[in-house]
Amino acid sequence: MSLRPLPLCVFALCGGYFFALVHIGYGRNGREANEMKQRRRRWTTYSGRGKRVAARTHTARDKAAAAPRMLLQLIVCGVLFVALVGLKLLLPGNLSALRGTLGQWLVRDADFVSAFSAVGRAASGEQDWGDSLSEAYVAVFGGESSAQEVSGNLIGMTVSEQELSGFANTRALPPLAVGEQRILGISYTAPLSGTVTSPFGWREDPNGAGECFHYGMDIAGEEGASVLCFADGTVGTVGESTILGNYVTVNHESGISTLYAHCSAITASAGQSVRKGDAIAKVGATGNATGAHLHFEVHDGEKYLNPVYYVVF
Amino acid sequence: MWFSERGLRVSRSFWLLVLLAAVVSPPSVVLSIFFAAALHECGHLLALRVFHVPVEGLHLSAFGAVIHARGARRLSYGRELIVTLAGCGMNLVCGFLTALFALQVSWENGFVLAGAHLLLCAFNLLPVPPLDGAHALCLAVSSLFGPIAGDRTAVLAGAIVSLALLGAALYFSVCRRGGALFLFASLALFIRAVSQLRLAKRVIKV
Repeated sequence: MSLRPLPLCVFALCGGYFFALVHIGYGRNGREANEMKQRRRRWTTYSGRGKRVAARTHTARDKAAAAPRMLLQLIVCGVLFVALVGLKLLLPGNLSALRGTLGQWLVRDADFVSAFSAVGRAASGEQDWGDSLSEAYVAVFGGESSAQEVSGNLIGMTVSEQELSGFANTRALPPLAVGEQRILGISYTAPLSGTVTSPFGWREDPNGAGECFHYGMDIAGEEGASVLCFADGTVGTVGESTILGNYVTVNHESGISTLYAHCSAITASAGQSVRKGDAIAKVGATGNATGAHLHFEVHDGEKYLNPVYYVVF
Repeated sequence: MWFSERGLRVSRSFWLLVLLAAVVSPPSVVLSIFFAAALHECGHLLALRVFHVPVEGLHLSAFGAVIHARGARRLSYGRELIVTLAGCGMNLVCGFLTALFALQVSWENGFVLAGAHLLLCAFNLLPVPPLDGAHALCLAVSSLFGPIAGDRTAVLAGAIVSLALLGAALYFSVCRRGGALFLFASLALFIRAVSQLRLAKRVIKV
């Protein structure tokens, strides 16, 4: 993709900044050490009067030596600042892509809000400590299942299903993804009406991270449009992560749960009972998103179902 | 007044950390951690105030805040231990109070703040040199078996624990394909612990 060089440029800029800091820092320490040595030599050579004079001249020299260093630091910081602001103003999409790439590289999809919140809930006595700590662990490091690499077996699919779900190739599904339609046994509705911009399945990562599996369905919508609840249930987690942005999960009957991500705001709160068609969030482009859309996932326990079977506009 | 002699100094690594945190994490988490860290330092300052130790300066860096108070060296082991643990104590108390308050008024971000307090407290109690836990361990052992034993125990515990942390971070980053953040953090801690180990060796030789 053509966007890749830009994050690289910013990484290079940051690298240059680090190098400048380290280099300048060592220069300063070396100079200080030298001057300390000289001062000690003078201390042994001169009398009291001579020492005072020497000390005074060194203070002046210290200041003179510090001035170009400060100027250099100022210039480096200024250039970095201007580059980042320019990037943000001229190419806002790229900066969010950079943020996504950096976040992906540093923390993957760790959800610190959920982790912190779980510990807080345990402290309030609302949850058991063991459950909370394991929840926090899963939020940050991922569950056992999510750590598995995408090399699962081909789950029984027919050609028509592949066409329906948008799979152009016969590539195997990840172990947790379910290709075939399952009967949910609950009454449901579409969370948002709009164009499906990215279906469930393998796709090229929008931020240029190569091919990856898309576990949900992206529906384009107007910023601020209401996101409706898929079915009756209870709001599970209201969170915020680098990848998903503002998101909310809803637990429905018979082990089904749904996730609504990249919202501009979540209007429901955790633990609240919701009915099918209730507005629970607003469409946005938070997290790793290149435009206003809803990322919608349907889970059956720990399995990911293809939402295309259940979202009818 | 408080930071009369050496003033408030903020190092460049601190700003770098702020920039990184602002880019990577959601604002609620970043603000919660900074608020918890500020209250943690307030705990230390309060304890120093109680023991009438003048505070000379505060230095903020990527490793957290360092309070300059030469007078603290004159305190007894017990009192210095209280000053060292005051920050974590403050976090613990504030964490539980915030959690209970958040439960009462069902305040979502309150739980995040309470979690930040408690996790910061737990992290600071790790016996790795720049953290409070190492200093507390050093003081506790010093009061029982003398200062040399205290220093040795703290440095050794720091090296072992930081090595274990580095191993765990490597496992999460490489085997479980986690992010590199924990690896960086544990590497920084490990480097600090090893430098302390070398310093302690040199001191013992002298």
